[in-house]
Amino acid sequence: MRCSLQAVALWGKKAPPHSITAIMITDDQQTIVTGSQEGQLCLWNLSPELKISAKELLFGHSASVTCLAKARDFSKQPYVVSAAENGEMCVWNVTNGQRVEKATLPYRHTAICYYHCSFRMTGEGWLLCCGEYQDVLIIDAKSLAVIHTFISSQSPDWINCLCIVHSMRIQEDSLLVVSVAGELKVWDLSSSINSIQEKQDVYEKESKFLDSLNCRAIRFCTYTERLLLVVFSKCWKVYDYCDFSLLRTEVSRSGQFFAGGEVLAAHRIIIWTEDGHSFIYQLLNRWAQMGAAYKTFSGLSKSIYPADGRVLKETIYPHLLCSTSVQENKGLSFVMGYMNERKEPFYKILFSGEVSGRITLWHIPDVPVSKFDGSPREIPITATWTLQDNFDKHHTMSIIDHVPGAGTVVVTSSVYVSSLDKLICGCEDGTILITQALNAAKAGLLEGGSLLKDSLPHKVLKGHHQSVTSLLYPHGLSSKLDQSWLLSGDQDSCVILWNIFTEEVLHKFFLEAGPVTSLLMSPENFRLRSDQVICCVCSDHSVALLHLEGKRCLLHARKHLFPVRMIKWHPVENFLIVGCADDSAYIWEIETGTLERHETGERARIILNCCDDSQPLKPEFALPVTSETHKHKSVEQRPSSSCQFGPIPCPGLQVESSWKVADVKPFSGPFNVLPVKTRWSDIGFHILLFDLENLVELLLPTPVCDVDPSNSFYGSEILRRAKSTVEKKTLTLKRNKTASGSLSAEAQAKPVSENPAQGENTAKSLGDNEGIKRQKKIKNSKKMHPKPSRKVDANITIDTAKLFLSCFLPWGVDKEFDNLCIKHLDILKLQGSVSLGLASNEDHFSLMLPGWDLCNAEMKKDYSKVNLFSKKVLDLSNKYMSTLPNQVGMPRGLENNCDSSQESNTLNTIVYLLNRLFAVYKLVNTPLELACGTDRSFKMESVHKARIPGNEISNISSFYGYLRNGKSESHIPEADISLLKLISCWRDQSVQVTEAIQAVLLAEVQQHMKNLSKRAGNGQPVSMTEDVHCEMRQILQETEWTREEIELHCTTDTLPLQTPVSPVKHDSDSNSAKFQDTEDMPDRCVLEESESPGKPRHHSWIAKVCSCKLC
Amino acid sequence: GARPGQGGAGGGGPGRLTVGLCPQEEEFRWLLHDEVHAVLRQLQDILKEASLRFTLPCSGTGTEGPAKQENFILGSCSTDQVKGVLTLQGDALSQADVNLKIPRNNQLLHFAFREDKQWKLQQIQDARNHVSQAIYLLANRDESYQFRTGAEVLKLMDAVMLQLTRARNRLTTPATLTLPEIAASGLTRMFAPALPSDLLVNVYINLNKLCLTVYQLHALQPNSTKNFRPAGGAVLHSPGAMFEWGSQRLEVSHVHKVECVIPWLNDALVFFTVSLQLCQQLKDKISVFSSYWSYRPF
Repeated sequence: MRCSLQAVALWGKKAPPHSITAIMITDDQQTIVTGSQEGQLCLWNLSPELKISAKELLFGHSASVTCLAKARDFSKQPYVVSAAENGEMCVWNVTNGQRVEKATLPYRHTAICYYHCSFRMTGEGWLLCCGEYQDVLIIDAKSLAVIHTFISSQSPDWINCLCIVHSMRIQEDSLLVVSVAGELKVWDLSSSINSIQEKQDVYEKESKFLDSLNCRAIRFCTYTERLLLVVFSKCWKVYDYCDFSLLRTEVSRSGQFFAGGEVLAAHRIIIWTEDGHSFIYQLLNRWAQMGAAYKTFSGLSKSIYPADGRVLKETIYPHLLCSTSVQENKGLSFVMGYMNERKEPFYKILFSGEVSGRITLWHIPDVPVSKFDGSPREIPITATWTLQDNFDKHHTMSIIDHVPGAGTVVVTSSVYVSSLDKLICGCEDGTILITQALNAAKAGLLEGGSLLKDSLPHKVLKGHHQSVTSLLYPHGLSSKLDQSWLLSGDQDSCVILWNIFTEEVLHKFFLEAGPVTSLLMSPENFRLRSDQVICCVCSDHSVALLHLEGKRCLLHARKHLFPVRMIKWHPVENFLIVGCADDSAYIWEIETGTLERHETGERARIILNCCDDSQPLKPEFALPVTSETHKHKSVEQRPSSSCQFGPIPCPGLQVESSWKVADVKPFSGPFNVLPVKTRWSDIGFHILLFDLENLVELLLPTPVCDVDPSNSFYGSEILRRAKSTVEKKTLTLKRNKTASGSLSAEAQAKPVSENPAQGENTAKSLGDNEGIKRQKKIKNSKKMHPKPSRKVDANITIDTAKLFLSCFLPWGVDKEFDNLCIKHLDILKLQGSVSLGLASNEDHFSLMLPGWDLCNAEMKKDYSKVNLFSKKVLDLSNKYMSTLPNQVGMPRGLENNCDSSQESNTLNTIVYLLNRLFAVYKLVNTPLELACGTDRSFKMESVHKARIPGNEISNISSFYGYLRNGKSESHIPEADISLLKLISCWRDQSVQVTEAIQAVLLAEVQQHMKNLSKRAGNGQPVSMTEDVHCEMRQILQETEWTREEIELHCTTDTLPLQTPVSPVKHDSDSNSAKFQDTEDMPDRCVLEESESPGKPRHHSWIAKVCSCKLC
Repeated sequence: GARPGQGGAGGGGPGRLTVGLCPQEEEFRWLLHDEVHAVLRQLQDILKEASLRFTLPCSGTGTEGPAKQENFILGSCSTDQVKGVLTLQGDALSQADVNLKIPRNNQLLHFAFREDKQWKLQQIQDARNHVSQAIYLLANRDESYQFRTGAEVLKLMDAVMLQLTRARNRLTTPATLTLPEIAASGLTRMFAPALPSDLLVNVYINLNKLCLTVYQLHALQPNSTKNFRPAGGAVLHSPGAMFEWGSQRLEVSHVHKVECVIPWLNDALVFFTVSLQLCQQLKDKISVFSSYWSYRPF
């Protein structure tokens, strides 16, 4: 299963930089896609009135984007491919911002062209690519694997640009390219498809030296099928396509560089320059210009298309009709494109993107004409927009906006300590703010949250005189270090060791080495007199080692000429190995502070690489300073790559800790704040990450209930326990404390695997817990793992859950309903739409930009709705509602639970909601193929076989389990089947996760509120419910008995182990494990219970579901 | 570079007052408007010099005639079993004469390139193209261009350095090929008469040297007790390396490596290093003012 985290971005007032390096408009003219130097893609909404608004930012590349192209027949699949400087390629679905495919090849592309020939080709088509390698690569548009190459027999070289010529006349597609040396080459395309698929060599059909360098574009005139436009940086030329004879050369003015061009119509072309100007020319024929008289007597007017083509030679000259220009930004580099749409609702658009991040559009008239006096007409700008415009227009906030005293201060570095829920922000003015992250987020996002403003707990550390450039919380990396320590480095190379609890300065290190760029800690296995040391990288390329306990600087290595890229530790020899940007390696002896060796080239590479590979027993930790080191390595390690990349010194946005979300994952707790910093500026923002899985885990009192359908008393269980321990309102969350009421409640409250190890676990430091969790996350196997106990504050968990609901609920659908939510769920309404996002476990984020919700045309006028992800959500929600059974939507307990307190009621509802959301989320997230596979096996009625895919079944069953909460066993939940069907349907229709979550949330909450009001009307529970309740009680008693036994069994079983049950054990035990949820459960219990009579029913159930789905 | 006169900040934008700026800001303006261009000019000069070494016509100066031919005699101090004379024409090997003395039977083998064929040295071509990309990046930012922010300069320098690093790396890191890859390479088909089946030849650039390796092979008997383990990719395979080619299992029995320094490659590498250092120094200068350029774009 792809797992992903729900994210909310807190952008702050300034938009992140987006220096556009590539731009395109999708075929439906609804989306502009831009790629940036920073490595992100931005999706911009283009309205039918040609208004632009930024919608979504996609993070997936770790280097500058070099080109964009469509990757499918757009009407069928809205896919776009992007390529980056470091060889990464991604295919994106631009309607929902999801990444469809990713590959890293040892090739840097500068242009990509999609080619598909439906009747000769199987598969999704080809991406024809050129770039910093010889000839043309053919890449499969679906898998992004290299299929083959078009090779040149004559002077093979890099290719600058390419275009596909589809000639109606000869019914043959050709590929035209121009090499860096200025050689035009032609390959047959459609007739070589077979040879390519059989991996035969296909050589060029023709080639011609064009006598100019730096080709920027080559375009074929489809109107005349005769002219070929080739744009070089210093001139543009028109050729006759028949024999490639030169018809016209037009040289640029001095200081002017052409950047591209396009054919507008027959004999009409547009040329644009690097500084954002464009010129529309009419290509006139000299003979035709001589007038009608000449035509009549010579009869030569036919010579526009002369038979031998020679008559055309040098007979064309351009007449400037119109021009476009941009104001002010003279000199900045532009990337431009032109979109020619002849169909009615579409426009002819000239578009440009700038390094500054600005997009400009010109609507080109169908027939551009010059002024009456023949002088060129200026076509006005139709629309222009930047990311910052979105930020200015819509309310944005940063996470510390509401921290008293923070005001408009610029955050220059930050770190989040999840164990304390503390966000530590270093500011431009040298102060360090420490605040409670959850509260700060609430204060900023929620209505009435600003009331929290005054009470928002915060601390201000004053000690730096210049902006704080980097922060390190050592305890977060190694539990052995003092929990109160914090390190901060500033612009003036002063590093301060703080005690964050007492707010005092413990020590100041003055390094005199320029701004501190990063603070790192030596790995666990590297110790200097039993202490770990801090490594401080400064911007004068020096590296200082600090010993915190001794409060002294051990070593200051200052000989590096280039920025430091990599730090390695050699614990045995006591060496510090520094890798620099120029691929050199410096080896420092830590004790003496002397430079032991300096190596460059091959040797340096060996030194920097060898430690990882050859000494697995003495692992040496690489602490990459920046994330791109990782990526760089991965590129270089590719075997026998024909093209090796050097280090890539231009990464884009960098997440402080590390770029990949996968690395972010092992955070403890369901909530995390990820600081993101930009490379070429000081603009940064924060992302709130919610781990729904973790949240549900923490909130669920007894996950067992959800797994086995025979335990469908979830709701009443809660009710009962709520009753028995009314005074303990948050009992469900305090399961670590062994002080609950009845025996069965106790048994339930303490999941088995936790029991034996509990005392220890609680005594253990948090760092160890983290370790366990990390381990657990890494394994990520289909089977569940013992659940480690978590020392997460219960209140934080509830607050997180509430904030999550606040952020994901579509508000304003119905005012009444909003109020009910606020009242009964005890959550606050959003001030405005939040920037929702999704962080996948691979390595990409998609984040909505401020104002994203106003992009959709149909929602534009409806300002009352806040945060509605898409119009679709309402439809989905209605569908879900209609499938939802009327009476049993909520945990039964709630409806009867008149005597229990409001708070526990609310809590139960929240738990229930999150549970549902998680189930839906998992179901929607399951890869389609897997699901299909399982469906098929269901069809064969072979449940046993179907077990093999594992995950899917457990998903379905767990979903089933979730859905069945609060239902009596005798009810065969037809409705549930249809719900399950519905959700599966959504997945098949590629409904986005966020959409599904919102829809289900909306429907469930509405249902709940309906029930509530109904109950309020009745005054007391309806009799039917009462009956069911009684029935349930009975069964409950039975199960209680069973469970006690189980509990006993398990306890004896696991006690001697002293550790949580190892997952390996149950793997071999029985196949029953497949019915467990993927999330962690006490496995023994499940084991036992799967043998309960519930099991067969389960099977038939799934079979039923699937057969339903099939028809 | 010389410091500007009082309030001089030459090349400053029209209408921009330089009076009243703090010295640091004034210095930064000077850096952006004058010093950056001075460095860029210097860089361009060096890189043009480097690209001349590759006999590449510089952009705009038109084309030159066919690249001149250079002969290199490849040898090794440790052995005289192999001698090679290679003729380089720009980035292509136009002729090759290889003599191989086999001491076992005192046989002297001689083989040469076919007249009609050239062998492109991909490493040189790539390095040359990377340099011209770097020159192109710089050419677009001549004196008339006004840098507004430090970030702009940093980005340009990053882009130029990327190209230069790649150019250098292409020369310093020859492709690691497996033996079947060498056998399948077009180079083996370049010779007339054809290479004997028990010989493999590879040509590559390593730093400033043109290297020729000749592998002598012998077939492994199918019933051989030797543990067959195909060798991975390497720049230089050692005797004993095994591979499968066609239906045969082969083993390298002897390896001969001869090389010759190409003087202009040496120059080019020096130019790359110097330019990279210049770029980095400019970046460092700009970074000193980072607290200015990030908040106050000009």
